[in-house]
Amino acid sequence: MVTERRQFTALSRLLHWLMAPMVLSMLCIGVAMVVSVANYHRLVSIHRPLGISILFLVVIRYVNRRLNAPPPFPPTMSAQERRAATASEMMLYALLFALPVVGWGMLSAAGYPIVLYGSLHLPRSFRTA
Amino acid sequence: MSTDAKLGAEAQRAALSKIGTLARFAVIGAVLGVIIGSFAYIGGSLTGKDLRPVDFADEFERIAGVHSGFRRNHAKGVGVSGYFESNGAGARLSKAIVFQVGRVPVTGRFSLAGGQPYMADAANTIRGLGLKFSLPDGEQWRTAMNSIPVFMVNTPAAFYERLIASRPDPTTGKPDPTKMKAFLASHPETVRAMKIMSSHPPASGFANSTYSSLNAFFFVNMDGVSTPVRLQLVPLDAFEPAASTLPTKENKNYLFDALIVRLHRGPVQWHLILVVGQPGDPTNDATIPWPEGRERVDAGTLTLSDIESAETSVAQDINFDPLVLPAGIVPSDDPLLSARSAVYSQSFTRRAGETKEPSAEAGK
Repeated sequence: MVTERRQFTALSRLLHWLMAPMVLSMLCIGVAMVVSVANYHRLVSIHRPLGISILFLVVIRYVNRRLNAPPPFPPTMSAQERRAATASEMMLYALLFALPVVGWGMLSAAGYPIVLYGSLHLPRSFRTA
Repeated sequence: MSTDAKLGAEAQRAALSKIGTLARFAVIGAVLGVIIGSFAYIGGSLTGKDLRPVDFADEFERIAGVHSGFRRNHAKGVGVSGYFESNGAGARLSKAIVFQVGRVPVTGRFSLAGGQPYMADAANTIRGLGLKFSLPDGEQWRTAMNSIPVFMVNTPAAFYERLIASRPDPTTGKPDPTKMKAFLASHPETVRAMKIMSSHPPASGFANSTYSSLNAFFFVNMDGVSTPVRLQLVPLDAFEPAASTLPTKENKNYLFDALIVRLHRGPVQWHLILVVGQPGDPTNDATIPWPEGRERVDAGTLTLSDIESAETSVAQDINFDPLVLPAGIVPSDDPLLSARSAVYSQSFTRRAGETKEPSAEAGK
């Protein structure tokens, strides 16, 4: 008999606690940079590499999710709650992937160089004109 | 799942109801409240005092009207292309590849200050030259330079106040002179800057104008040494003062038409001069000129040869954000730089989502 996993794997937990502050910071920076004149450039300079790091980590996270299934739902959860939990997890993955890709796409469409740090750049995800 | 386990689960669920459930909802609600509250706070909807990039763009629209698809400032312009040939002299100040000996392609745009794409050219309107240097490693250097030696204001707030003061009065259609007077009374730095500007009368055209970065940057070389630098483009075409005659209806594009004629005759060139600041030279105040006699490094020659049609011009879609910089150039502490970046981005976002009106650029 296989004993059911009671806990998330160490890698899953590491990814979770690494990404949680990154995503929360990203949201705050995003809200702040569109209204800030004085700190716009400083915030954008953090926003871009942070977004790409999240994209990079979500790919690892997705692979890890497929390899290491999470522990089963607690028995106290109703079927409806389980569906809601599964759906929100899927939505979170979709958004964690889609938002950085949209940002990368916006910079590409506008023809901006996609600066990560110093002269380290990402290629344009597509070209217009 | 066994029946026992199911029963156990049911029992736990029952135990959670009443106070337990309420307490949990309260905690979840508090967390949500803190998150929504901090977003509202950061987004300024609770403080709401600081100027936002949209305020600047809105004010440009209030003054000049909304011209679909055009920049909110420097709306009238024409795209050009060419190259920058570096002589290597700038490499001791900056490690940026653009200053190593060699040639990089450049896309540019000549423009007139103001939000009206259909206005008549006038000698006293500030001329702009936006440039995008495309470096071989994918880096870019963008700059938006102007045909004035210093800028009128030294803070984003003063820029905004000056915009408000120049807003046309709804009854007369002209700015209220008392408002500008009041602005100048509280901004002696603007009065001083305007004096310097008036001692540099405009040249006869775009091609023989000197353009300045106005803001300072720090150039960082291979050894990590950082030097304050202001940029100037000094034309090879000889300076001729602008004619004092006012444009007529027939030649409302006379500056752009003259540029087209000049470019048909051959490429137009400028020396890219790096003005090297000394300790104590202000890097955060664009209204103050640096003392005479500062070292001027001629880093190479900018050659602009091809004028682009307004419809197909690549320059139309470029945001000449002065903070798109290659490694080796970093922003100074000038507060105008971040503001320009933020407001240009707002202008770019607005026009990118609009259908462009029929072209107003020269050559039409």
